[in-house]
Amino acid sequence: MADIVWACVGGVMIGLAATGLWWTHGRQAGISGILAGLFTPDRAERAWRVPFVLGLLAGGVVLALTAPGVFGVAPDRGAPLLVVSGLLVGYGTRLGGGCTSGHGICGIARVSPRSLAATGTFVAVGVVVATVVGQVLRGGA
Amino acid sequence: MIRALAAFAAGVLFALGLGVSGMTDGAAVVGFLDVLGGWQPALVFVMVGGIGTHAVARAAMLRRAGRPALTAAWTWGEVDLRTIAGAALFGVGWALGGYCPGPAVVGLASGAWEPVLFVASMAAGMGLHALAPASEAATSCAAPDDALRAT
Repeated sequence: MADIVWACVGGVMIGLAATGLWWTHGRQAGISGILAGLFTPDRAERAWRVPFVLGLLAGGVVLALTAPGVFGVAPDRGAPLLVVSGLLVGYGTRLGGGCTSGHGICGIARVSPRSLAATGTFVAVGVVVATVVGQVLRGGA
Repeated sequence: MIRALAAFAAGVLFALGLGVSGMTDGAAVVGFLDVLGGWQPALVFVMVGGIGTHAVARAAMLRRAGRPALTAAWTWGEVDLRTIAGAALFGVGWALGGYCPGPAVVGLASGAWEPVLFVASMAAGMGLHALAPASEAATSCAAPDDALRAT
């Protein structure tokens, strides 16, 4: 039950952060898109992307100092699997134009059919793959 | 300066929200996606809270202001037909590693090696896409939206 309350509280904070960025800069808080544009030659684009990502890192430092227990890694994932996973997330989020934040939060909040389709797809595929991998790791398949 | 500070503050709040919600715990993310491994449904409520808050606040501000506070106009993401393929690849990677982009970046501060390797690989994946032919058409087609019409 407590985890549901914390999930709601965190969700509200994420929603407020997305609203803040959107209200002040007119931008969607889509992390994959923001990261991909971090090193663009366009100075005006870097001017808000760089401080936003620095804010993410600063928030991470605050969490590491005050609540290190919030960090955890998926079980039984070795380095090769993490490399494959990172490549797929990097390529896939660029091809699909967004990730859990841009499509999943901002896109659905503005009722974008494209974001609803993208979110339905990555959640459904994620459930199938994680469940199959889980069964294999448990020796049940 | 105030614009940079606003973006920085949004980044800090976003990161704290990810940490509080459970999204920075890869085990919880996999526990949410793996429905046969003692399913942990709590992370659904991150989306409920995030979408609900953003939708309500956004609608209220659109009614009240019509334009962003510190810049000239709203900007919208790109629209293309590769969304489903990209989202499917992302779903596979998300389930394999337990990371989506935000929590992985926030996790860089945790001191663990996993987020470092993941973020480096993710950057390589983004670079591969940028190098691929026709990636221009896929990423730079701005779509008009209700908010633009509302200004």
